Amino acid sequence: MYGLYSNTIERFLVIDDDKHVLYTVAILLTSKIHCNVVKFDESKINNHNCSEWTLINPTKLSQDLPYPRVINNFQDSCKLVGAQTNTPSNIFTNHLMHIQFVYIIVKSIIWVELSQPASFDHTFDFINDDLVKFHADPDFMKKELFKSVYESSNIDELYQKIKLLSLSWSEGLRKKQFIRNVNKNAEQIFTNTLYSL
Amino acid sequence: MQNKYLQIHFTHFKQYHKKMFERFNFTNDGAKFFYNVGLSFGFNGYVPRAGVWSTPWDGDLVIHGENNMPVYDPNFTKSFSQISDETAKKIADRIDTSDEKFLVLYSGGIDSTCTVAALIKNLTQKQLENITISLSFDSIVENKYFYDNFIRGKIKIHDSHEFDMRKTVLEKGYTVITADQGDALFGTELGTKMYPLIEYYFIDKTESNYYKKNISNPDVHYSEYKDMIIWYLNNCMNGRFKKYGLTSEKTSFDLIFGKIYYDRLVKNIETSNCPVNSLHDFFWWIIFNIKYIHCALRAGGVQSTGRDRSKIFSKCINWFGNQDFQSWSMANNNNGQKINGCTQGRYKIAAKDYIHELDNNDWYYWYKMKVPSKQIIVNRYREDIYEETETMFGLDENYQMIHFTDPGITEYFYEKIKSFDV
Repeated sequence: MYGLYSNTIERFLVIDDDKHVLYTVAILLTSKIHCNVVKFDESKINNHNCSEWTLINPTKLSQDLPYPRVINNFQDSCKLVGAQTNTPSNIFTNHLMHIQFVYIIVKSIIWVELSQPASFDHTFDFINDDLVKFHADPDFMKKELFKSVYESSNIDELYQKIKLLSLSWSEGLRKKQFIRNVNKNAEQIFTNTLYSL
Repeated sequence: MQNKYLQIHFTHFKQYHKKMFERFNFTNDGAKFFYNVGLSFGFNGYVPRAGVWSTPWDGDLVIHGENNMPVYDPNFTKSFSQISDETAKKIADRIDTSDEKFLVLYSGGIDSTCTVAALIKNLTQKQLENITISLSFDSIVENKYFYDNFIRGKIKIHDSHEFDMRKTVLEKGYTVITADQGDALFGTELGTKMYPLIEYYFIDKTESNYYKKNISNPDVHYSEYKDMIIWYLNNCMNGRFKKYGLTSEKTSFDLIFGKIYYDRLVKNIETSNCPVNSLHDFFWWIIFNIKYIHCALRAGGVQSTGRDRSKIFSKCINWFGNQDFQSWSMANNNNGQKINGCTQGRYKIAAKDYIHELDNNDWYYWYKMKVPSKQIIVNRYREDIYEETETMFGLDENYQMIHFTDPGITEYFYEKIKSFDV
């Protein structure tokens, strides 16, 4: 299993068995929080509790660049140490939620690329059907979605940017529906990572 | 040898110095220790400003002007924000009186962002027309929010890959502003990279919690961490020893490097007149005292070319190098201004507060971590600079860059290192 690990707060942020997904998330988060993708072997860690786990020798990770790296041969041990202490919990909760949403969107996009490369139908129902129909080119969609993720500072802003991608300004895309559909899709896509919101 | 030097030893060990050590095959402990210091801490800062600290060049080193350490004043009351604003207003005055043009080296890191934030806060739009930000793609990535909202389309920019102090100052007439000494004010990543290891070093949870919680507590003296510091200093050497060590295996002397270095630091602290209590104070003191001159001189040193650097240094402003900032740093240990917590996201907190007042970027405030970005940004494509640094020996008191290839230098180096003792 791989984890997105932040030296800044000394905790995992999300985990997945696909390092490519996590690395893409790390790149999109570069300007917000410095992360590396690390390999670990601790079965007790999942996406519900990973932000309470730390690496016990994190300085083995490179901190000499402002860019994320994938550390494939990392053989460190993990330790359950409880909630992070860097950021007040109410602020961190919002930031972590944003990070998780970025992760979900990235994972969804990559999942579509692999499983239905010709179309974003169905998977992106939760965003908007019109969006998918209008932007028939998946590469364009991917680029636009990644751009939205990269430039958004919080979930509200991310939601607004995705909404702007849609032709239907006034219908279909409600935030609650958006989140509900994200959750629904997450259940299908993220079973391998014990993910559920 | 008549020369006095401001700094000796600019070059990385993998370059000329390693060749010199291999050529002369020094057998004295002083030479081995000196080499190991360079291995452990990269570009070597080895010019003490206070306290007892012997070097191979004792008596041949001098310190100029503002690079001298101020006398410790516990009653110094100016805030970090106040000094930042005052420093920016001095730039504004210089623009008003002489239409001086300034080029700010900007990496997107905390120190350079703090500098640009001060200029934005305190200069008028007209005065900002005399400011150019030298940055690269990396600078934008490191702090995209700041670039998008405060730099792009608002302040002139310059591609830092083209940066050369000599050309910028002498040919284009800019005064260069560098934020290189921010680390010296706040501490050093040498420390902040050690703090996460407390979890690893102290297996017992109660013990590790105690030591993590108290890294900047003045009532918990750094000597309580002595064994771990020595272990850590040895670790600092280990990585590079494998690659650049003079021998394939460590000698018994190499194995006690951490202890020797720690003992020397303790002696230096005890013979200085500034309180150094907590673990974070201990690491701060290394960069504020022993390594300070290196940070102060490297912009005109390793980031420039040519022999005569006098005009370059006369037009280079170390933003955090003025006496007020230094006095602030000495008077504000352990109060949360330098580090507020035990994680790397809580380091340089006074600078982050100052930036956040302007940009309200919570991500940057809570999670920006110190990374040594400047070297990447400025020097990445500068092969002509690398060629010159290959043989750099030191900067003499007249700001002339002296090279190993100059007459008498190799002999001087040999004699000094051979007779150095620890």
